[in-house]
Amino acid sequence: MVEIRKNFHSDLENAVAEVIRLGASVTEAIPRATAILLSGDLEGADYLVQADDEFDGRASALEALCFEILALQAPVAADLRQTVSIIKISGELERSADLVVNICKAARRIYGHDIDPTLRGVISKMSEQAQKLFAATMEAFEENDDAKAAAIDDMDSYLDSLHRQFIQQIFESHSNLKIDLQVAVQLAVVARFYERIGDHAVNISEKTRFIVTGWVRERDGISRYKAKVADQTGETPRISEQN
Amino acid sequence: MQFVFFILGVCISALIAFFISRRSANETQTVLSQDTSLEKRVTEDLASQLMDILDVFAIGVVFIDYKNNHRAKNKAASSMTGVRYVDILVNQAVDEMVTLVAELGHGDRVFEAVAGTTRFFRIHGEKLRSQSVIVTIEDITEKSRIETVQTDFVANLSHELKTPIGAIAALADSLTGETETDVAWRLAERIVTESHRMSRIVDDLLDLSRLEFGGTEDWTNIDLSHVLVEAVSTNQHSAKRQGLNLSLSNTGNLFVRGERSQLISVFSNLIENAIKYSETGNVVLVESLGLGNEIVVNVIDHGIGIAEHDQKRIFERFYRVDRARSRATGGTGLGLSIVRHIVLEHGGSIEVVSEEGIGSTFTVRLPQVSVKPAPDLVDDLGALT
Repeated sequence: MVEIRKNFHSDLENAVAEVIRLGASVTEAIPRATAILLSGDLEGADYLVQADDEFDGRASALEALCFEILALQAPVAADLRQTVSIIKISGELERSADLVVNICKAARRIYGHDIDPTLRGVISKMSEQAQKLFAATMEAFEENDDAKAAAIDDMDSYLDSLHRQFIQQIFESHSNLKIDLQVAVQLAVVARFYERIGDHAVNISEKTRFIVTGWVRERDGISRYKAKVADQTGETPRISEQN
Repeated sequence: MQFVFFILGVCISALIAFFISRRSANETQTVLSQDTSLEKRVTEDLASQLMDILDVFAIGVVFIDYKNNHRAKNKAASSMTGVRYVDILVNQAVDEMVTLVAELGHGDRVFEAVAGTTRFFRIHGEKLRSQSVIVTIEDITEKSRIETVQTDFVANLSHELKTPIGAIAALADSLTGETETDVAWRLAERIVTESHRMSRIVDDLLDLSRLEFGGTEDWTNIDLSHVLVEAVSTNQHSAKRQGLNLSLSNTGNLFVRGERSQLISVFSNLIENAIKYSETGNVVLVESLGLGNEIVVNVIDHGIGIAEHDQKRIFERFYRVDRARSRATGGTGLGLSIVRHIVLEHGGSIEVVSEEGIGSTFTVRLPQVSVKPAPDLVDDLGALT
């Protein structure tokens, strides 16, 4: 069979390849930022902060490419799901890269202060877990693997529990006078950054599931809402389930 | 290295020859259809053999033939690290290099990526006479690591020797102009401390170099349990002073062949460190057990722990995790590298498992020798346990 829409498919392939490359950049930047934070490497922090501009440019170019595909090629079915999802994923990637940059900025703010070894240990663990999540979600996207994408949400709950543990540890260290208030607040915010990176990874995995199967998370919520309204009124509300 | 590039050069010119011959084969196809099929087979064989040869190299090679719109890559280039996201980034850097080379004719850069540890790659691109582009990727992580270790060693050595000398000079200078006995006394005392510190560093350095050229003539069969008892008891005092519980769990007669005082210094050093980096109320445990033909000794503490990136470097001479702390605890920065030397010399191995805030476990493995202990030694052991 002759491939008629060669341009369209190569555009879409390019968009997918760019998502994978941007994802790899974020995955690699997570441990880098953690090392910068733990070693107080100001030069490294500057480098990563500045590299973010290029990343933003690439993410918006990716979006533009997808708009072009939508406008000029009018994709349907799986292709449409993929194009639309990549627009959303590029936002998630851009936001994740920002969070990595935020970790570097926090490293600048707490420069010169010692971090309690127990806290350092938990930070390393959170970073490791966030990176694992991101690597896994990007693999699921690359391989169009629904099962792998579905597992990301469970992996994220470990990161959430590390986050809780970390906050508790901050309180303990602070009450033992091991860290001062300013550092404690900064570190609490840093922990939040890792936790948010995990959430973005989960969002990307949900887009992957949507691309592969058409599954949308919100549908669970919609059916819960419908059941609730039906219980109260005996009527089924008209909410579109189109995706 | 030059040899590798020579071989690469040969392979590449052969690849070019293959493409050229394939083109000429296409042109004369109608005339000599039988001959070309033979020629095609031969050139295909040649090309696949060349790819096999390139696959052997640890250096990644990417070859782009613009005329025939053909792109080839050896095995190493397809998976430089085995970590997927890093491979993706390396590929991206290669693509950038290809674009650069197509414009400028050549290019060279060092690319770094964090895959567990930071890895360094040298990416080099050349445009060939046939307008094809060849890019090589070389993993230079180990090379740059050795360079760092060397420069750090020289810098640290000069620093460590300079600090006490500077202090002694300054103190002696003040001493010459000092008339008050009390102050002079204090200054002299500080000079003594600093010179001791310096002589300790020099002693340790001498120990190290002696170990590096050491022989095994005066080695005997030694009961490791005695060694451990001695190492623990010499450190018991400082453990008590710091409010730590230092305990030994010993499984009895375990024999190694080696030098007694060296082995004592191994465990004494490890226990000393465990005590130094623990806080009041913690437990430091030394345990030994025989596993088949090796003896495993664990020195376990619940102290501040060691960050992952430092764990790989703590056995280097003068490497310090935290300079400020090491000066306060008064180490020379050579302890662990001496430990490692002795253990390796004795045919053993040492490793560390550590997590920041949780604690560290140093594990020493030594080869066990089966020896019937002399009768008096058995009595000796009975008295100890």
